[in-house]
Order: sequence, then C-alpha cells, then structure tokens
Amino acid sequence: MDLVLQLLFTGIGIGSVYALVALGFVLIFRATNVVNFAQGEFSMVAAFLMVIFAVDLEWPYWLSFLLALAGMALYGVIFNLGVYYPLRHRTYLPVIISTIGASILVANTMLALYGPQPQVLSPVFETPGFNVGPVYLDSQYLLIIVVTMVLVAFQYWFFEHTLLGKKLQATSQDKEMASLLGIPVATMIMITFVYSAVLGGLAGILVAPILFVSIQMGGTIALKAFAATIIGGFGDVAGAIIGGLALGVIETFGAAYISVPYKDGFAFLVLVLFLVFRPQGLFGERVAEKA
Amino acid sequence: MPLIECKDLVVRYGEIEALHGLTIAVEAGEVVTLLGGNGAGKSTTLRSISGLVKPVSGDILFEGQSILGAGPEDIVRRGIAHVPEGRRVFPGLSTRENIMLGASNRKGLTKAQIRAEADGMFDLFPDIRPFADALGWTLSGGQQQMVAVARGLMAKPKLLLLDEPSLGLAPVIVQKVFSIIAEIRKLGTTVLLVEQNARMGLSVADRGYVLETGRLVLSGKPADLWGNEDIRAAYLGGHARVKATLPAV
Amino acid sequence: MTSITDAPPAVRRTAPFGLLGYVVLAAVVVYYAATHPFDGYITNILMQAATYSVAVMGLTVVLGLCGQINLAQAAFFGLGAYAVGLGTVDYGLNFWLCVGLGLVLVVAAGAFLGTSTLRLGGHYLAMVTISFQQIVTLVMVNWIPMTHGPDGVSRIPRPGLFTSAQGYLAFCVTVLAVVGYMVWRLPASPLGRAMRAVRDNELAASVAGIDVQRTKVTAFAICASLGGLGGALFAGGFAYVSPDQFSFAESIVFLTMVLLGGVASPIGAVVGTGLLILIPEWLRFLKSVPGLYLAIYGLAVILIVLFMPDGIWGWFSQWTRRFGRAAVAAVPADAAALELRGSVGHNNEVLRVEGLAKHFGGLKAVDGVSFTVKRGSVHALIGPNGSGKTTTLNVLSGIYTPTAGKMVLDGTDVSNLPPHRRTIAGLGRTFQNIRLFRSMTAVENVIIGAEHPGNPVGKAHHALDARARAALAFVGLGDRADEMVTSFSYGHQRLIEIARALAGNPTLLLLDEPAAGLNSTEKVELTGLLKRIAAKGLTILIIDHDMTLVSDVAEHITVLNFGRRIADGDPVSVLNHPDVVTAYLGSEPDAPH
Repeated sequence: MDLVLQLLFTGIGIGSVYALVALGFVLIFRATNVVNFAQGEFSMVAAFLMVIFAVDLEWPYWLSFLLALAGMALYGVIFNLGVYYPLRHRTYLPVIISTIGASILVANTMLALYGPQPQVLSPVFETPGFNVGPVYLDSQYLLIIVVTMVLVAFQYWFFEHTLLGKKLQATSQDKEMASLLGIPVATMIMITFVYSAVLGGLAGILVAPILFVSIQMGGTIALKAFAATIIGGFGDVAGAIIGGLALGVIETFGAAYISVPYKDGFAFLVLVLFLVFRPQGLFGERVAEKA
Repeated sequence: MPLIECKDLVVRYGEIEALHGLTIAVEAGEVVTLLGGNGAGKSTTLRSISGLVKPVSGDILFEGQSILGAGPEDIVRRGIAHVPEGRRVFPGLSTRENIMLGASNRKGLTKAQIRAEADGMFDLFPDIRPFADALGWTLSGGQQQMVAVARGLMAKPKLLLLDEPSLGLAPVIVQKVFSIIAEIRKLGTTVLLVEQNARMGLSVADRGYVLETGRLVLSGKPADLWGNEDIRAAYLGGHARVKATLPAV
Repeated sequence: MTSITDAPPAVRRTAPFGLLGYVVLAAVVVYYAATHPFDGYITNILMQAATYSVAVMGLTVVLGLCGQINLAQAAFFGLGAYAVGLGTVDYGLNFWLCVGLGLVLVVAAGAFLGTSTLRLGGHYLAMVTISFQQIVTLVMVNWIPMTHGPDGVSRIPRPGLFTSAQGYLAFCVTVLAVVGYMVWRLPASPLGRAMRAVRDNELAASVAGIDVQRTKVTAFAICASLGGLGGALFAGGFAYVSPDQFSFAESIVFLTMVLLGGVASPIGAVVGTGLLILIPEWLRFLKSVPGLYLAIYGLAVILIVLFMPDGIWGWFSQWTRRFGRAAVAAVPADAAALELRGSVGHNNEVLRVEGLAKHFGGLKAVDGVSFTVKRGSVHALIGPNGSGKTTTLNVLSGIYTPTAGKMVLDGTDVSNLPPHRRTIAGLGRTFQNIRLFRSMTAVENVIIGAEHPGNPVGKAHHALDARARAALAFVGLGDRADEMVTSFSYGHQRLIEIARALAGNPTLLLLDEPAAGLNSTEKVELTGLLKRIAAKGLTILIIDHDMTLVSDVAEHITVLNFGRRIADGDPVSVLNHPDVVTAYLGSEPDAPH
C-alpha cells in the first residue's frame, strides 16, 4: 500500500508535466487546427535556456527562471511568425510538415551548439524532500504538482470568465467570423502561441532536474503529451489534463511492476489501444457529429 | 453624401471576375436590397465592403472616406457590421457569449456593460431568450440567424450588411427574421441586404438593385421592380403561382 | 435493367510520351548504368540514389496521390534492409526469398498501422507513424540476439546474377524504372483515381462507391512496400546495415526528398532524392559538427513548404504547361443516350423506412420516422429547418448510423451497410453543399461515380468513359466534359454532381436541396432535368426548401417536424393539411409584418 501511494505521487508528478505540454498542444490545436509537432521542443529549449542562465552563467535561479520564460515567450512569437503564420491559409498537411521541420531544426541546432552530452540542472529547493507518513514527497515533484494545479485553475478562469478567453475561443472556432466582429485574429493566434510556448517551457524547466537536459527530451515529452491528448479526447482541455495525469500514473506503475527498460513503451501501447478501441478518448467528442 | 458608396468595383477570384465595375450607393437611414441569382456578385459586394476580399480596382467610400484595403477588423471598428451568409454562430460558445462578442469592435466597455447590453438584445429577439446559455451548435437554423443578427447589432453599426438571412430557413421562420429586419429599420440603422427571396427582400426595402453576373442591370423602387413582369420573370424568381402583389411597406 | 449502349472508344488524352518512349529512355539509362566505367564512389552514390528513390516513390503514392502522411518510411526501409541482411547472413536464406519476406513484413506492418489509424485522419496518422518509427528503432538497437543491436549486420551478399557493383547498380536502376512507370501510370488507373478522390473529398468518395478506408490502407501498404523494397535493395548494395541508418531523422530525409522534388510525380521523387544525396556529399564538411547537418534539413523542410509548395518538379511542370497549353483540345464525342434504371423491379417499393431514429445525445434529430418510396415516383421530404430532413438523408446514405430503425432498398436491408456499400446496392446522392473532386475534370468526377461494382456498365475504361460522357450530356454539359470542375459555375457544379450520381446507375436518387443557391433560370432548368430523369423511370427522393420546385415535380410528399412524420400523401392534400400549413408554411406566406 505504501508503495502504491508512493508510486501514485510520483506518477501524478510526472503526469503533471505531460499535462502541461498536452495543454499547450490542445490550445494551439484549437486555435489553428494544427498539431504542433515541435511542442516538445518548447520544453527542451526552455530547459537549455535554464542551463545557459543558471549553470553556465551562474545567475540566480529565480532570475534565470524569469529570463527563460521571457525567452520562451519570444520563442513563441518567432515560432508563430516563422513556422505557422505564413501557412495559415494552407491545409493541415504543409503545416504539420513545417512544424516537424522546426522540431528537427531546433533540436539539432541545440545539438550543434551543446554537443550530445546531457546537461544537469539542479532542483529548485535545497531540501530534496520529506516524509508524510509512509510516503516520501520529493520537493521537485511536489512543486510540479502545485504549479500544474495553479495553472489549470488559472486557465479555467481565463477561458470561462474573461472576454479575452472568449475571444480566443471564438478565434479557434471561426477565424473569418471573429475578424468580422473586430476580434484581432492575428493577435489572438500570437497570444496562443506565446502562452503555449511558456506553458511548454515551464514544463521543461520543472522536469529538467528530474530528467537530464538533452536534445531528445523534447521528442519524448511531445509523444507522451500527444498520447495524453488522445486519452483525454482530442482537442479537449480537461481531457488533456486528466489524460496526462493518467499516463504518468500508468507509466510509473508499469515501470515498477512490469519493466523499467520499456517504461517509455507504455505510452505508445496506451496510445495504440486508445486509437484502436476508443479513438474519441475517455470523454468522447464534445461537439456531436454535425453535417 | 451617401453613407456607403461603391465605385467601379472590380473583384477577381483567381481567373474568374466576380464583379465587373459595380457602382452602388446607400444613403443613411435607407434599407437597400441587392437582388440577383447565384454568381451575380451580391455576396462578393458585401465581402468587399467588409474587407474580406480585396477589389482589384475601384473604390469604396464610407462616410466619404475610402476604406479600400482596410482589413475586416478595422472596418467593423469604423461602424460596418457584416452578418455573413450561413449565420456563422460560434458553435462552442453560448448564445449570450456569441452576442457579447459582437461588441468586440467597441472600445472602453466593461464586461458587465457588454453583458447587460447583450441581455437587452433579448427584448428584440425574445425567441432566443430561453436559449441564452445554450451552446451555438445546439440551436436551430432560425435561432442561429437571430443570434447572428443580434451579434451584428451589438457592434452598434452605422451600416448593417445582411447576407441571405432567409437561406435554408422554413418560410415561417423567414417571416420572423424579416419582421426583425423591419424592426431594425425602425431603429434607424442603415441596412444593405442581400436576398434571393426577392419578394421578402423588397418588402422591407426602400430601394433595390438587381445584379446579374457581376453587373448592375436595374435599380429602382420595390414597387417598380416588382411590378415589371419581365423583370420578375428574369431576375426575381417570378412564377405563375406567386402572387404579384407587393405588401405595403 | 439495361446497360448503356456501346460507344466507340475514344483516346482522349495522349501522354507527353507513352510507354514506348519510357521504355527506350529507361533502357538507355540502364545500359549506361551497366556499362559506363564509374569509380567506386560514384557507383555508391548512384546506388544510394536509386534505392532511396524507390522508397521516396512510396511517399509520392501515399502523400501526393492519397493525401496521407507517413513519417516512418525509414522504418519500412529498415525492415526491408534487415530482412535481407539477417535472412542472408544469419539464416543463409536466398536473397530473393529474403526480399519477398521483407515485403510481406512491411506490407503487414503498413496494413496494420493503416487499419488502426487511417480512419482517424492526418494528425493521428502522423503521430502514430512517428511512434512506429521509434519502436522499430528501439527494437533494432535493443533486441541484440536477433538484430545484433547497434553493431548492425555486415557482409550482406548480393544475389548471384549481380555480384559486381556495376551489375547490381544496373539492376537497381531497372527496378527503379519499373516502379517509376507504375507510379507514373497509377493516377489514371481505377485505384489511383480512387486515391485522388479520397484526397479531394472523403465523404463524396464514399458516397460515390469508393471504400475509403480500404483505399487509404492500400495506398499506405504500397508506400510501405516500396519502402521495404528500396531497403532490401539498399542492403544488397552496401553489404552493411545498422539501426542509425533507419532512424526518425532518415524518415525526415525521405520526406524532405519527396517535398523538394514534388509530390505530384515520380520524377519529383527522383529529382528530390538525387539532389538530397548529392548536396550533402558536396557539403561533407558539415558532418564534422553533430547536428548541423540535420538542422539544415529541418530548415530546408520549412523553406520548401513555405516557398516551393509543389516542389522543384511541380514548379518546372507548371512553367512548361504555361507554354504547352494549346496542345490539349477536347474532343466532343457524340455521347450515347443515357440509360437509367427504370421502373422494372421485384416489387413496387424502392425504399422502405421503418421506425428510423437518430439521436445526438439528448437531441432526437429523427425520432421514429417511417415512409415508403414507390418505384418510379418522385418523392419529396420537406419540413421546417431542424425537422430532421438532412439527418434522415445522412442516415439513409450511411453517413450516420441510426439509433434505431430499418431501411430496405429494393428488397435489400441496407441498415447496417457503410456508405460505399449502399451505393453499390443502388443508392445515388448529391450534397446540399456541393462536394466534387476539385483537382479533377468533370468527366473524371463522373467516371468515379460510374466506377463501382454495382454498376452494370462494367469495369472497362472506354465503357466507363462513355457512360460518364453520356451522363454529362444528359445534364447538358457534354461539350465541357474535359474541363476542370473548378472552372464551372455553381449551378453547373450541381449538375455535375447529379451526373456523377446518375452515372452510377442508381435504383434510387437522393437529392439534398438541389435548388439551394440556384437562380431562377437555373431552377427552371433543374426542374426540367428532374422531370427528364423521372420520365426515364428513375425513382427520386428529394429534399428542398423551394416549394415551387417541390410542388412542381413531386408526386408524393412526406412532411417532417421535430424529427417525426406529420403528414404523408399527394401534394395537394399534404400542402393543405392544417398541421403542415401551420408548422411549415405559416399562415400567410406574404406579409412579413
């Protein structure tokens, strides 16, 4: 039982990271109808920015953190202008291909600059963790869970209770109509990319002390975040969060009880099972089939 | 000075020329109907005015100033609201949220003010009041049309562009929609209406223009247009069974 | 039931150069490859280019022709290569047998991936193929007892006939030439046409009688098999395979090759492959910095997509077409009269609908509707907006599965059949918002409508072509058959859609608001056309808002409201039925206020 609780804690912690990235996935998908295959690189780039600021330049952690997030906001702007925006009137296929190109470009630029050696980023807190009853709470995991909960609450409030949130939703549903109402569509899409990049970056920074900072981390995280969105039902915000948490827990338990080397395989297995047996995800389609 | 004036408008979609030098004008306070068959260029005219398509040549003057080349977001801020064909209600937002977003072109309003105004719209559109919190996609075609018109009015437009409000609606609903247009007319809003249902379109209008394949072929008072047997047969969907009387406006 | 009368087969389109020209050109290239004294380095580069080109042509089929994405082509390439490598080295099997086994393996893998995800569409497929690619790499690296792990397999032999490098190169080029020819001719074949139809408009394809899922899986399997074939040849050519040659990065390289060259033609595949093998050779120094080389690939992908969407060959052929356009001239043939399925049949009922229901969550769009369409009649289904008409039509044509109820078409229960099977069973339909295959000519659109097993016209191309032209002539567009559908007016596009449905020789024609968006002249023409169709004895079920049209052509009207039938009978009695008048027509249809 103690082990189960311990694993549950770890699983929710790692699942929170997937959830954050999945959230970014879903937001961009809803705003542009495009799956951003360079979503994982948002996390990777942010983690490398942290390494540059906090490790190489030895700046204070909080300053590095803020600079890294600011860098991600800028990255979101550049990404939108360079990879998505010029293609906004084309079909989904060129955009998918363009984001894949971006993913390859960014990952390998990092490889060219930093070499294949994984980098290490130390945790935020000096205290590694503490015991609550039988469960050892790692402080970094705890931080991840808390930050995710705060962000999810913020996002719910933002989309359901602010006009800007409604304008973003309107843009994602019908861009031409939104522009006819005076909603600045280009700005709305830009906000989405910036927010999504910051979200992904935050996930990367939070998870960096747990994983190594490497050019592969983006691809791994992105695939799992995608699996999370499939579990939750594609394009569904709440589904992405629950899917991410579920995947983290499945993976942690799978590693503990089945096999450690094939830990990463569980995400794919779950992905395929869902695609075959329940492609609409756990929560089904929000909007019913309409001709 | 007319409120809106299109001068020698030429619009192309790829190789096809949709408008070949169209000139029309609408005075403030008027309701004007654009009539004509499919491909006549009626929707293209509205889309040019609201900035969705860029004419190759010609000019569009709104309150005496050229708005040619301005984007749709800019044009709606100047006071032209476009309710496009097919209603285009945001499917994932509620009726009230849809209507509230109609005020996106107006600056300096608080969310509470916008909400109060949106709720005020239900006096003009009592049929959708019970569905204020229903999502757009759950509404019927007629309800969606009312949401779309209400959303257009939230912009407080000087000019309202209405594109085929009768499309795909059963006759009884069409009548409801047109009685609302008559109400809007009483409020003093200038309306440029595109309609295929010529009888309905003319019944609420001060003047009518008849387009054919991108050209203006006729213009005049509703009674003159409707009264002309040849015109009815050629452009207005005249049919032996349709009553020739035009209702008094 | 009659089939169409035989029309003289007419050769419509002459390819720029035919089979003979291709064979001569290919023979010259093969001869050159076999005899020209290349040095070893050049031979290797050419061998790589030839084997890669085969795999890249797989992407031409799946991406260019069928519009589906595959980001695991390097995995299929690798499976083919490992089948040859492990089979010949570890198990001492014959080279050709190994190639065969490899092909079986990749086609099975491709079909499995395709079957599980293709119905879900592009994004899923992209992600699943990436996952598959990762899994294949993982297995190649980690399953050491089977695959030798990261060390790879070396000393792979070549087949007996082609042991010399030059001989093997000539063999690879020959295979490439054969594959190239097949890929070149594929678009004009029934399968290729089906793929293009699926790419252009899936829903219309399924209603035209195409098994969309099977077509996509076939395209995907062809792509995988060409990947596997290329890989198998590659293994023989280089005698050594290892996991890093078949990584995700290589899948991106394949994708870049097809995009750079152009997805529309096998020539594009060869051009793109050739360039992307040569350019890196010139830029070898870049490989000294890890990552730089691939970063440039990534950048190239973005730039190609942004600035050269049709690839080099696409750009080139557009440019040449601009000068050579005058060559294409339509040959208006005297089209044979269109024969339609008349009123002869087992019984008097063409369609019987019993207790049909379709619920979306709590919304009962159709709630227990029953009606019967009599053979040879024109039957109209009307009702206020939201009354369930279009939902009924979508359930009838198999786009929605009914919540309850039964549909019997000409004695066959079609309730549980998918759309294309219903078309084969005798259903034809049009759409409210026109759904044509926009990259094709009018006659190609209509041929796709004619081309299904339920049509007695058969499979022969000239018969299908004649049938399609007859159908176009019937709707009045016979002389414009070879124009692209996008050049037709809205009203004419509607007529092409009707011709497409008629060409399939349906027992029952479903028309979904055919008058929507037509002007009065066009409506009069449409009324005339419907009367001519009815005069041939074909049964029609029509939905429309245009009361003039409905009361003009219909002999029987069923009225729906709130998902239920509220009236059924002849036009006069139905249109005067008090419930109908209040529900649908309103009390006085004249005055808005």
